This record gives sequence, C-alpha cells and structure tokens, in this order.
Amino acid sequence: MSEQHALITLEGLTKVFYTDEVETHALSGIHLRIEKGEYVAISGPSGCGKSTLLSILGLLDSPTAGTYILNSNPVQSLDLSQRARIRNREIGFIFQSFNLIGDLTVFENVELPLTYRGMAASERKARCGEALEKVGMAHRAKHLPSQLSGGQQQRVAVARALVGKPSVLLADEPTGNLDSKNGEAVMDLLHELHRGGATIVMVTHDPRFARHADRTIHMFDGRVVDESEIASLSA
Amino acid sequence: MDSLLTDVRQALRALRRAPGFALTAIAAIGLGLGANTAVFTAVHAFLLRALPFPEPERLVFVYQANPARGIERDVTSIPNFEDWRRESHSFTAMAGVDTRRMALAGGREPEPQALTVATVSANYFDLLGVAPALGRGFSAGEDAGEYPETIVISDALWRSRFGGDPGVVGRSVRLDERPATVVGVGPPGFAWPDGVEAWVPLTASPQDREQRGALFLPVIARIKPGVTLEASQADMRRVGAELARRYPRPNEGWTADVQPAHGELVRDYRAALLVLMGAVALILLIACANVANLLLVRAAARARELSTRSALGASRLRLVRQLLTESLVLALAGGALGFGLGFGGIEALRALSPVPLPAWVELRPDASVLAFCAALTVLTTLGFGLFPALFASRAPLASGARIAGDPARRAQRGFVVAQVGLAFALLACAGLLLRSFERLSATSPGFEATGAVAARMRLPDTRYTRERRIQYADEALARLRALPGVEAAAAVQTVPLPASTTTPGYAWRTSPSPPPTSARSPASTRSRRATSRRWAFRCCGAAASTSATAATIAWWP
Ligand SMILES: Nc1ncnc2c1ncn2[C@@H]1O[C@H](COP(=O)(O)OP(=O)(O)O)[C@@H](O)[C@H]1O
Ligand SMILES: [Mg+2]
Repeated sequence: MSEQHALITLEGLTKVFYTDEVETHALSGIHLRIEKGEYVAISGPSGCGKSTLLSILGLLDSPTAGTYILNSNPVQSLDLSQRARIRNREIGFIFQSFNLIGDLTVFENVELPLTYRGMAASERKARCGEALEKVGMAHRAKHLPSQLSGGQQQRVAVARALVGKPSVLLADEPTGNLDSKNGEAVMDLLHELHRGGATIVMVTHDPRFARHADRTIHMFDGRVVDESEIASLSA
Repeated sequence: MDSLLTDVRQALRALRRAPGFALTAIAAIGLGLGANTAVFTAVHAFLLRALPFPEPERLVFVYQANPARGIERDVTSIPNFEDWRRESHSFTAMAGVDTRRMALAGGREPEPQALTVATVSANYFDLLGVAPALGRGFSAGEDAGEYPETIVISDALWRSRFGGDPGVVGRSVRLDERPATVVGVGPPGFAWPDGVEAWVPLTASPQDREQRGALFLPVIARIKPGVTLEASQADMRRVGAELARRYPRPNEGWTADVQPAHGELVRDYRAALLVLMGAVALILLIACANVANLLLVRAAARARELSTRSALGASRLRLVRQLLTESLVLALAGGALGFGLGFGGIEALRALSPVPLPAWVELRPDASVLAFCAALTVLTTLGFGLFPALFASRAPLASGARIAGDPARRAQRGFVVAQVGLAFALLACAGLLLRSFERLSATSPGFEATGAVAARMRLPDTRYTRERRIQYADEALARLRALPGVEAAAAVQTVPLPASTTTPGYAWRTSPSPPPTSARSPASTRSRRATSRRWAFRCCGAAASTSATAATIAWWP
C-alpha cells in the first residue's frame, strides 16, 4: 500500500446538476486520495453531496469537471459500456435500502454481478456459496428477499457486493434502514471485511459508526472541510 | 446462451408475478397477430400461392380486346378461337373453356340432375397438366361433333351420384337427353373452372362454328417454355390484326390480348384483401401502442431494479436485452394465441364471404403462414418493446429514483395519442368501406329491383323444339301470372345484370321479340316460398351479383 499506488485519486472534482434553470453545485473542487485497504467514512449533513460523491466514485455518474483516477486508470473519459464493465469488476455497492431484486432468490441476487461478467455457472456457484458463507446467509440461499428481515437483506446485499472480489466496496448509509442492533451487526461485518483486506468507502452521518473507519472525511456544502486521521483501534 | 436462458427464466418469473399485466398484454398482442394471421392466410392463398397446376406461371387467358370501345377483356367465338390456335406461335396449347348447365340422367338417382358443366377443348386436361384419377381425359377429335358423347365427372359428383363406384368408367348416362359415356373421373378437389361438376368436349353445331361474331368462349393457353408473356402478347396482337383484316365484318377494331391466369383470377380479390391487410395492420399497431404503454408504466415502477442491475455492472445493451426478452416472451405467448385465433379467424372469413370461395383457393395456414406469423411476432416484439426498453434503460442510475418523472409521462401520453389516432384511422377506413358499400347497394340497377324474382331454366332442345319452347314459356307465364301475389311475369333471353360475361346464358329462348323485363312481384319471402312449392328453388351464389333479390330457379319436367 505505497503512496504512489493510491487506489482512488480525485482532483478538483466538481459536479453541477442542472434542473429547470436551477444549478445545484453538489460537489465543488474535491481533492481526495484513498489507499488500497483503507476504510474511509464520509460524513456530513444531509444534502452536502455525500451520495453524489459516492455515485461518482462508483461510476454511476460522471463529474462535471476534474479527474478521477481508479487503479491508475483515468475513468472520467470512459464510455458507457466500459464504465459498466468497471462497475462490474472493480466496485461493490451496498445501498441504504438494500436494493435486492424481488423476483430473484438470495442466491440469484448474489450471482447477478458474476452473471453479468459471463462467468461459468459452476464457478458462480462456488463463489456465491463462499460469499453467502462469509455473511452468514448460506442457509437462506433459496429464499426470496421478501422472506428475510432487513438485517438479513443487507447481509445478502453485502455478499452481492463482495462476490465479484471488487477493488472497493462503496456503501451509502448501509445502516440507515436498520434498527441499531441490526445496524451494529452490519457494521461488524464491514469491519471484519476490512480486516480481511477490503477497501471500504462508507457514507454515514452516525459518528458511532464512523469510529470503525481508519479516517473520516467531513463534508459541508459540496466541499471536504476537515480530514482527521483516526487511529485504527480494534473495537 | 447461458445468460440468455437466465434472461428467459427471469422474464417468465417477472411476468408470473404480474399476471394482470401479462394477460392483458398477451390478449392484445394475440388479437392483433390473430387478425393478421387470418388475413395473411387469405392473401397468401389468393395472391401469393400459385395455381395448383404444373408450371402454373405459364398458364394464361387469351382475350379479345377492343381498345377503341374500351373493352380490355372479352370472350371470343369459335372461328376466332380456331384461327388463334392455328396461327399463333407462342403456345404449347390453347383451349376453349365454356360453362353451361346440363341435365344429367343415369347413375344411382332416378331423377335427372342439373349440373354445371365445363365444355372444353379436347386438349384441356393435357394443357392444365391434370390427369383424371380414373379413366382418361378427352381424345383429339372428341370435340369435333355437334353434341358431347363423352363426359368426365368430378370426384365430388362421382361420390354423390355414382356412390364412388370404381366401375363408373364406360357407364352410359344421358346428357340433355342424349346418350353419353363416362370416360373419366377428375382428381379429388379438382374443379376448374371454379364450381364445375363435370367436363364435356366443346362441341358445336356447324352453324355455331361459322358464327365469328358470336362471342361466348373463354380461352386459356399455356405459353411455350422460353417465350415471354410480352412475346406472346405481341404474337396474339399480330394474329388479332390479321383476323381483323381478313374478317372486317365482325372483327373490325378487335385485337387479342394475353394475361397471366393467376393474376386474372385474383383481380377482383386483390384490392379487398389489401384493404383488409391494411386494416389488420392498424389493429396490430394499436395493440403495440397499448402494450408499449403498459410497459412504460411498468418500467417506471421498475426504475430501482434497473438502477440496481446497472450498478452491478449490467450494460445498457444487457438491460435492453433483458427487457426485450420479457417482451419477446409476451409476444411469443401472444403469437401462439394469435396463430390459434388466426385458425378460427379463417373460418370466420370463410363464413363471412358473400360468395363461395373458388375451389383452387386453399385457405389453410401452412409453413409460410407460420413463418409470417413468427416474423410478425418478432417485429411486434420490437414494435411494442423496443421504445420502452430503450427508455427504461437510458442512464437509469444517474438520477436514480428520479427517472420516473416527466419524460416517462410524456412518452406515455405520446402512446395514448398514437393509439387514439390509429383507432380513428381504422374507424375512418371502416366508415369509408361501409359508405361505398352503401352507395353500391343504393345504386339503381336501372330497373325496379324490389320484389323482382328471376328464374332461369333450361329446356333440352332434344325434346323441346323452338315452337314447343315458346308454347312452354307462354303456359309457364300464364300459370305464374295466375299465382296469388304475382304482379307481372315476363320471359327474357338474358337476365339483367348477369354475374359475368363468361357465365353462359342458359336462360331459355322464347318469343322472337322479348318483352320488357319486368318479372316483378311484391311478394315477400313468404309468398316466394309458396311459389317454390311448384318451382324448385335454387339460390345460386354466382347469379346473386346484384343487391336485388335475384334467385335462380331450376325447374325440371
Ligand atoms: N440527480 C440530481 N439532480 C439534481 N440535483 C441533485 C441530483 N442528485 C443530487 N442532487 C442535489 O445535489 C445535492 C447533493 O445531494 P446528495 O449527494 O444526495 O446529498 P447527501 O447524500 O449528502 O444527502 C442536493 O442539493 C441534491 O438536491
Ligand atoms: Mg445521500
């Protein structure tokens, strides 16, 4: 994890939304480096641009200006299908509202990124089993999402995010829709994944959860306002 | 392949979870495809499938034409026909084919039977390339006499009147009171010209063979291999001009023309079929707009799912493919339903047809109809599925749940407008059709048709001399006039507005100067039925060419 090989480098990143004559400056000149294996929390008040930043990190959206280098690869100029490919291989998403697909079983949900990768069925099966094992949901593989509790659904979503062995896990308020007990459990799971070597960028406005992270990035009105290193302590 | 199966499986599951949507969509597509399948089956049977004879593209009709008088197609006379046959170079064979009513006695039934008989040149069967199923066709010279002495019966007549007797060949029967021998039985289903029940040689009296101006004979021919239609037309124009020069008396101004047989036979159906095809295409478009609208509503509801899939690495192409797979599953179910409905629709078309369909038209869905249905199903999939798929998959992520905003609603409104527009177009077409039909029905035939009943009869000249026929007519008229409800009755040689010029006048000949046509009675159907107790009543589709209450009555002593 040397300095020269930062996983993510953002320089002068700006995002402006144009809607019906209204310009919203969601992000204004963000500079950021995230190293491989880091666990970064992003916090700040609602509407300050956290989700927008995460969307750009996840190649769901593109910046209005600035550069984004992922794995030494400038990605802001890629075309749509190249971006889809990078989302599929390099990025794992965990959403606030789980976003499991209701028509698909737990197993099929987890399998989806591998299906889009064109992986052979036998390998998919092995990998999904492994990922579900990791989040403790292997016994629910044949269930539909609607048959699971919120906490269980988010664990499945985590399994789906990590099954493709991405370079980075992006989580947008992963505990926002969970009670504190289930929230804690998901946080512990992420912490464990981090200790296993995963790079994690998590949006949260709950300082209790931010303490798991190596460092917290504070945002206000589309800017990074303060960056304080927090010593990595075992919880 | 593997992922395609996955798509299909997921599509099936998604549709099962939305049965209301799926069934509505399948019903709409099924109706649209069903109507198209049925009408295409008819288009295919009439316009696209060749006539059921060997090398059918070489079969032609040969006409007399008189450009100066605006006559493009007319029948000819025996002398002209014989000169055509002798002096043209473009044909392997040429045959006269007339139809007439004849009385057949013999076989199982004691009663004589009125038959529609084709009187044909002896080479007729060879020209068509049709071999009788039993016995033979006609031999050269059999058409040289004055009266037919041989007869080939149709398969249907063989079964109905002769009980399918395999020993029928060689049997003696009586044709219009003269002896004749059954020499052959036509192959099953063969009835050409349409509706004939038997064939006899084209015989004629010596006087008729001299009557160059007596135009009554339709002529078919087979073009030689390697000779183009244009060359044969030029050939016949040459022969026609030569005959006009040689026999100016009747032939002045007349020439001869050649037209492909199939095109001529379907001429009257083409426009109607194409209008129908257009109408059902509109119906399918309306169905597509409907289903597209439903899909858009569904896409809005699925915005989050599509965003998630995209976040997990599905490219736009992949999303479009998944959505189109769903549409294809819907369309295939609709297509299967449509093919089934098409089957039923064909029967409905048959039942709705005001005249019996020609026997050479085989209204059955075959491989090409199935192929058409399949191709249309795929097109339909794109028709209703492509826009919603492109719409739903366009950058589903950037704005996340905000996707279902105004653009979707605007697109839906567009589809509704399209549906309403198409429905109006369809209604307008239907209205125009009805209106022209109404005009046609309201057009006066030139005489007061209400209450008029026409009867045709044939008195064999073997038994009825000219004097006896006149006597017969006078007596028949007297008895008719005496019937209650009959206002007036008259005899005429040719019934007004016959079905076509090629339908022979088998109306009876009578008084030297025919009285004005006024076979009129205010009789309702009821009293006509009463009349029919003494007169065998036969409604003949071919004769019902006017909207008047025309009926053909066949009466046998
Ligand atoms: N797709 C969009 N179109 C227009 N404005 C947007 C869009 N996404 C976010 N915004 C605006 O950008 C700002 C930042 O939003 P967001 O990143 O969601 O904030 P946070 O996640 O920190 O609450 C807000 O003012 C929001 O209204
Ligand atoms: Mg947010």
